[in-house]
Amino acid sequence: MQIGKPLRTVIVEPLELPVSDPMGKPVTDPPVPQPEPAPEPEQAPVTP
Amino acid sequence: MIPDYISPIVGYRVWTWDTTGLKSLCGERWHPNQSLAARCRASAILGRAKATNDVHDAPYAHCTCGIYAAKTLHHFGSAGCEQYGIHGEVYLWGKVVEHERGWRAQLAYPKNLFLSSDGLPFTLAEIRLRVQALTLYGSDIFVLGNGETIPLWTRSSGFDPAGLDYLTEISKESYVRRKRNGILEGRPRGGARTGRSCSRAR
Repeated sequence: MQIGKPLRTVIVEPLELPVSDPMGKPVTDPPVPQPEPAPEPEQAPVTP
Repeated sequence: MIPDYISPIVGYRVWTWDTTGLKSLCGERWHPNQSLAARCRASAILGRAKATNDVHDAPYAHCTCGIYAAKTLHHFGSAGCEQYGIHGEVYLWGKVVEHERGWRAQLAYPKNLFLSSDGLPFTLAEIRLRVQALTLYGSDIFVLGNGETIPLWTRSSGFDPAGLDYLTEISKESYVRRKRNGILEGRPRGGARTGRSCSRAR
């Protein structure tokens, strides 16, 4: 996009920001729940 | 530092869009509910030795970095940006470099979005998926057609029947036209888009 020559630099600090995350921080993925270990099978009683 | 303005500057810009949402012409993704933050890529281009002296926060007055927007619709139109299918107003804030016909900003977020009927996908299913992705931004969405601006979705009211009816109608018309011409491909209306260099503008 051609926008011509630079004129000046301004600082804009809105009193109300248009987004909840104003600084554009990277979104971190939610932690992935680890599957619970499968219960060990009960040992059958050994009969002599 | 005392701010010069306490309301965001509003500019005009263009995006590409798909079922995952909005992207700058250079491929930078715009995430819903998260402002886009500019960063200068000059260091990656100039090389490490030169970059040591050139690392700076974007936008820098003597660089070309920053999130670009035009000042007026006239400036925006003269840049030939309507062809990309989706454009709109964009909030700009943080450090902002003013140019003759536009702005380079540190932070940005779409204010509203205008879909050109020429840039819509052919099938209603694809249109639905794309529009659904756009609603996540919470920015009001309009369709441009027949010389009118038709509301499609607003933050306050949700989907508008007039906009949905219009999308259904042009999708039907498109199907009939393509069937008549023996063309049933998945390309967007308006044919292939030309690529555009976007190494500087985000």
